[in-house]
Amino acid sequence: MKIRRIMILSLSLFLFISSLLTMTFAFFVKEKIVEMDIKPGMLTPKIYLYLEGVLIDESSIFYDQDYQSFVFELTDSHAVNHVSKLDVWVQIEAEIAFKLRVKLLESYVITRIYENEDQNPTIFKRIITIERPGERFYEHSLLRKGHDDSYVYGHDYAMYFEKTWLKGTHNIHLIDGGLSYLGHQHSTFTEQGLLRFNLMVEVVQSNRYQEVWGINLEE
Amino acid sequence: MRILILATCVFLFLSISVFAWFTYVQRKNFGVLISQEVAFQIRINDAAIGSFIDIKDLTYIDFEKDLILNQSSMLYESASIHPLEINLNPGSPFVKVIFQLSDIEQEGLILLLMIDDLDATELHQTILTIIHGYENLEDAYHKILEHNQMILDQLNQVILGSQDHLRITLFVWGDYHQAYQLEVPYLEMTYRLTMTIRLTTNLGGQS
Repeated sequence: MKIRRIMILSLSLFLFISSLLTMTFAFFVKEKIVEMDIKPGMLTPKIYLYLEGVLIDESSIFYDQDYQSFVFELTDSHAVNHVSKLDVWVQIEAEIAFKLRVKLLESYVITRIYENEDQNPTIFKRIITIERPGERFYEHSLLRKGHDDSYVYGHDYAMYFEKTWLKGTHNIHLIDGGLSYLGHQHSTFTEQGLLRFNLMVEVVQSNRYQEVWGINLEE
Repeated sequence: MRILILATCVFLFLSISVFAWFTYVQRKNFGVLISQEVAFQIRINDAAIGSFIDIKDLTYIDFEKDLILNQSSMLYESASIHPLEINLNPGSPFVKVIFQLSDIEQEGLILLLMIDDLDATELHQTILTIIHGYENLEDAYHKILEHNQMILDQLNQVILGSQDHLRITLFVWGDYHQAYQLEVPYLEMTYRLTMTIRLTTNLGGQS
């Protein structure tokens, strides 16, 4: 019985001293363990189209389901969907540095209407090529640039931006309105213009754009 | 019963020897420490950190074209860069740094440890210096691993005093060609590094 009591006492003493030792040792040593999980970064581009500040998408009445393109008015400047009221933003959430290329898919459709006396107008449709109105506009387009970033106009009619965007969230003002198509004025006919519009935005990690797009922006 | 007595004796003996050592440590440092303790802060990317960091900006590169030749001139922009700073609190005694980084050699991962901050121009030039005289890509990769080990060895020689700080920068890339051969799709890969930072007054028998 006595031996057991001694044993319990000594064991308690040992445990007490051991706990003291740990505390005292911590006094002289500090340690921190940090685990780092490293995952590949992603790129998430989004396109926002606005008409007079109202966001539109494929469910809008200005989206032609048959042609799968947006339709904007070119002649009637009072129309809600007039090209001057168009604003296009591209938002890119980037976890890695990236390069951007953009392709404006535009079709300028002009309808000429000959008013006849028998009330059955004759209608002719044609597709026209746009002369660039100025430096602030895109090539072959009535759409005005909303940014000052320089780009190279590729053989595939895409615009390859020279800038490298670093990781972060970037909002690029791609289109800031556009010009009306004035058309031809004549006593026998009137002209109406429509823009069928689509947009392709592509991003690729900055060190791979040459292989992916086959273009070198440094030359 | 005999075993019980024997175990008790062993415990008693252990207690005495540990206690003797403990007493010795206290006596030796009483005059220096004056009740101050080792305390430090770690910051990664200029933010205080807990025990876990989730990094989601790894970019895969071509080891030869991007890292060695820097053909795209995007080596720096492609890097996942993580400056790490250890700051010793005021009043802390002189301490030795023990820095360990486990799993630095992983398939699909390229890691470069630097003590100095580097800009875009210096980074590529430094890598060329590290791999100078490489015979093939594998050799170049091993030279980078050797460099990392050298940096770790250097860090483990550092002595910090009160309010001193130590800065290390981790440059990380994914190796496209290695990662492409892994079982998990390379864009879904998660690489884990475990970093252990121990600051010690070197009284615990640490070398």
